[in-house]
Parts: sequence; structure tokens; C-alpha cells
Amino acid sequence: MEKRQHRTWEYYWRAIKWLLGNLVFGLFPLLFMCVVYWCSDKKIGGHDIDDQIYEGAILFVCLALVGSVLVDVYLSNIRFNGAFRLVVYLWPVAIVGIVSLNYLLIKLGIIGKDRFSMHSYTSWIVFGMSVLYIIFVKSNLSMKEDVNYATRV
Amino acid sequence: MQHVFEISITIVALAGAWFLIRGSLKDAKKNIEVINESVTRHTERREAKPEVKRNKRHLNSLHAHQSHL
Repeated sequence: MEKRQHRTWEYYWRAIKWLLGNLVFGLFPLLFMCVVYWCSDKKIGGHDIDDQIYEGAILFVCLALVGSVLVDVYLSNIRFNGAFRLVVYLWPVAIVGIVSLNYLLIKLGIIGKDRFSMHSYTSWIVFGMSVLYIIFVKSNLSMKEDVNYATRV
Repeated sequence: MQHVFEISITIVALAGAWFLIRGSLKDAKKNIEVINESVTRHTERREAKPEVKRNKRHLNSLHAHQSHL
């Protein structure tokens, strides 16, 4: 029986599934309120959904997921090479910095509170940065784990 | 202030994304090669195994026959 050859996109697809699964669990309260809102013909829950989004629930879930990938990388004892290694460690710091600065500027009243909503450019940038980081780093981490296993067998 | 903030995070995001995607794809290519080489080696070893077993069995039967004689 011939063993199947691995392909790069399979690892990216695995990382996307990991991301979607974690997003569903992380954003469960928000999704639950969306279902309630939809089931009640938009009578119940609209205010709660707005509250959660304006409190930055989506951005904080992104931060948690990026943090979880970073901790996975750190604890796995797997090290990447070159500039990629630098980006793997600095990218989460950049995301945390952007969210913190955003939060600070909102609290100081320098920028509007709508910066936390999903209509804002900053939120989309943070969301996009988190998704890119999770997909590309998580997939490479899975590959490295398979490489470790393959070289041991 | 808002525009300065948005422009700076866009620059950071674009520069980081470039290094992240480029590094990841480069690393992925190397890793996949190593994994697939190992898969090929493993398959070859698996395929060679039954022949070794058969030869061993044949040798054992020859030894048995020899000792009987």
C-alpha cells in the first residue's frame, strides 16, 4: 500500500479549521445573541450584540487566539529560521500594541468609541493581522511537528 | 490623529504580512520536501519487508531440513 504524499495546502486548511473552531467557541456569547436576535424577529438582543462589539469582544478573541498560537510555538521547542522567526515573535507584540494604543486613545477621548466596532478600519486591520498570523504560523508549526516525527521514524 | 494612527498601523501590517507570508511559504516548501522524503522511505521499507520475511522463512526451513539430514 503506497502512503499518500503530503501537500502544503493541507496544512493551511488544517490551520483554517483550527481558527474557525476556536472562533466559534470564543465568540459563542455573541453568536448566541445573534441567534436569539434572529429568532425573536430582531426584538431581543440587538442592544447586547452592540454592547459586546463596542466593548471589543471580537478584538479580544483575536488577541487570545494569537496568544494561544504564540504560546504553542514557544512551548513546542520548535524554532523557525531567519526573518520568519523574528516575525513570529514580533507580530503578536504589534497586534497587542495596536489594540492597546487603540484602547488608550479611546479612553483618552482622542478617537471615537466606534474604533472598536466592526465598521472601523483599525478593527479590520487587527482582525486581518490575527487571521494571517494564525493561518501561516499554525500551519508551519504543524509542518515542523510532522518533520520532527518524520525524522525520528 | 486618527489618520496618523491608521496610516502607521497599515504600514506595520503590510510590512509584517510580507515577511510573514514569504517566510512561511519558504519554510513550508522545505518542510514538505522533508516530510515527503520520509514518507517515500517509509513506503519503500514497508514494501521490502514481506520479501525479507519470506526469505527468512525459507532459510529457516532449509536449516530445519539440514538438521534433519
